Amino acid sequence: MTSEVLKIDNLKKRIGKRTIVSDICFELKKGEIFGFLGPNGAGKSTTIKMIVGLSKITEGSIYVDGCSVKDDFKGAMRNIGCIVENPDMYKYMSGMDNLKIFAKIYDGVDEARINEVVKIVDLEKAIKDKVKTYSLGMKQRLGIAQALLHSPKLLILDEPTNGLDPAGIKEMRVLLRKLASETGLTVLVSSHILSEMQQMCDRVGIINKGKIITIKSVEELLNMTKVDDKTVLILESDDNEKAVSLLTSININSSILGDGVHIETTKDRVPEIVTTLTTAGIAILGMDKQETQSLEDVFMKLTGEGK
Amino acid sequence: MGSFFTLVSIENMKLWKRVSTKVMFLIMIILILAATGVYKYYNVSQKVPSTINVSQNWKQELQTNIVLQKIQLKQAKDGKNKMAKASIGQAEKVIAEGEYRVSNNIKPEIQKSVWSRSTEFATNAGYGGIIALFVIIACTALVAGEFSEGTMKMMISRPYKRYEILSAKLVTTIIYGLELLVATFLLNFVMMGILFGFSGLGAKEMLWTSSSIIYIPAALKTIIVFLLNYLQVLNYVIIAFAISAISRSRSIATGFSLFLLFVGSSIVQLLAIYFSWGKYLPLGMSNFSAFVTSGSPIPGITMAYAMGLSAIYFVIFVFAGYYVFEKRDI
Repeated sequence: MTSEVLKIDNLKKRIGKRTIVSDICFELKKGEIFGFLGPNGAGKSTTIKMIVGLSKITEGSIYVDGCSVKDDFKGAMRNIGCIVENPDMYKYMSGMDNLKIFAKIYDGVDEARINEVVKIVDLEKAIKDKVKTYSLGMKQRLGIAQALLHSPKLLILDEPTNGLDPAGIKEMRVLLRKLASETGLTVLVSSHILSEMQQMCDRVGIINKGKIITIKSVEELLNMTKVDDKTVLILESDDNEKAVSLLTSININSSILGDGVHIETTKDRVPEIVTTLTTAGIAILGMDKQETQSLEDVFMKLTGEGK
Repeated sequence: MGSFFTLVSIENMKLWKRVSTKVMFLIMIILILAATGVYKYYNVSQKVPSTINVSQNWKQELQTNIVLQKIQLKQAKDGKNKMAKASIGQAEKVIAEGEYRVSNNIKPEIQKSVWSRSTEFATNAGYGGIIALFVIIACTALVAGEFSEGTMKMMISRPYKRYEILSAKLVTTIIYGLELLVATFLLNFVMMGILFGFSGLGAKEMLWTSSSIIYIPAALKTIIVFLLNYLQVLNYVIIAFAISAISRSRSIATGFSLFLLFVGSSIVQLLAIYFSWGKYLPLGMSNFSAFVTSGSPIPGITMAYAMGLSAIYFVIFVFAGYYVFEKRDI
């Protein structure tokens, strides 16, 4: 018995002559939130579809809690709860009827469990309404409710924040964090928005053009933003133009940017800048340090989309 | 873990939660009430006699008729006219029935039994076609509808094999058809009984088996005719089912099956009459109840052959549907 909740080994998908994804390998541990990150069309959905049996596996293997998706489909699916693409539910039924239908599939999911799940996703008020009256956010929550019904070990959410407003995204983040830490649920979330992943996940796997480029913890990824000692400062003073000419005279790259001065320099020269400006009688009203390389830049660099 | 039965009950719940399913059922009920009512009104206002005069020497009259029919039958058989040949089946049936009456001394019935009245009316009113229409709509909703609504992926990623999911849908469709059939049968029977009297409940009638006459209770004959009608309906349902699973488009599946139902089958029947290879095409001979009620519609074709052929096509369509459904990426 392996300890991994999800184990993907050398996964490959070919449609006709086109290889959609290849050499996908990763493992998810219990209670971990894993972000599956990549631009549109990178192969995230294809990989997820193979995990949940919607797409046939061309090569390689997937194990969910030790059960092979290929050889023991039922065993594997028993431990998965998922939303793939959109949270499509039966629109002509109420949210409750939808949950009742899916509850029938699994053993031991009773009325009490349904109500519990409805409470978890905070949908008590609308659960008796028809799904066609739901907003996208409510549909997402209903989708999560049906995925949690049978207390699966692995929750798979494909682009769960699509169409959610900032408050909804935050709510979902809190919910997933809570589920992972309290019930030991393992979560696989896909997205093409890096900043979301950064706040939600423990580890992130970046995929592009059908291949995993790197798998890193969020901390490691954040460290990558501090690659060199270049520092960018935004300075605000009572005389910006004078400041620029002074800085240019001591060979520091600067330019006026809006209400402030944009300065590019290295860390060790910052005290020198301050001294020069104050000696010349310029009042420094504010100084702001900018990230030289944002997470987005790292992502673009890794996926090869940037320059 | 959920059994196959659970899956069928889930599909059944999905079907009945649709407004259209209930509406179709309601339409069927209203239609029967209206049709039987209009029929009664016509009979009363036109003073159609409810009894038939049977003369004392019915045997002689029948024998003369048989001779006439035999001459026509011989002409049709010897002739080159293919359309005339299509009436061979009916002539054979009439002759066999007449001879059976004469030799067993069964006097023609003065009044139709409630059984034969309701069977005849059900056939003439075309209930079978309406049931087929409704079952096709239900079937495409369950199979193709789930693709277009995106809910199919919600069903596939469950601890069930794909063929189990598809089978549950097929079984649910067939059950819905049976429910419609039983409701139609009962309501039609009760209405005919109320409007025209429950006469001849225990009557016996002749049933033509394409080769001989058997004398069975009228109730049994009615049930046989209804079941044969339902088998015909299934021919179209299975096509709707297969196209649904293959094309994933509800409109294509519904449209194409309905076209076959209302137009295609008559074309194929004509092909079967005029060309020998037409006998191997699907649907042309699927009007099974015609074999017992009015004789074989195509010369030389028995009901066993028609059913065997339909069974072969049934298996082909089912296999095609399952094969594509099993293999495809959703």
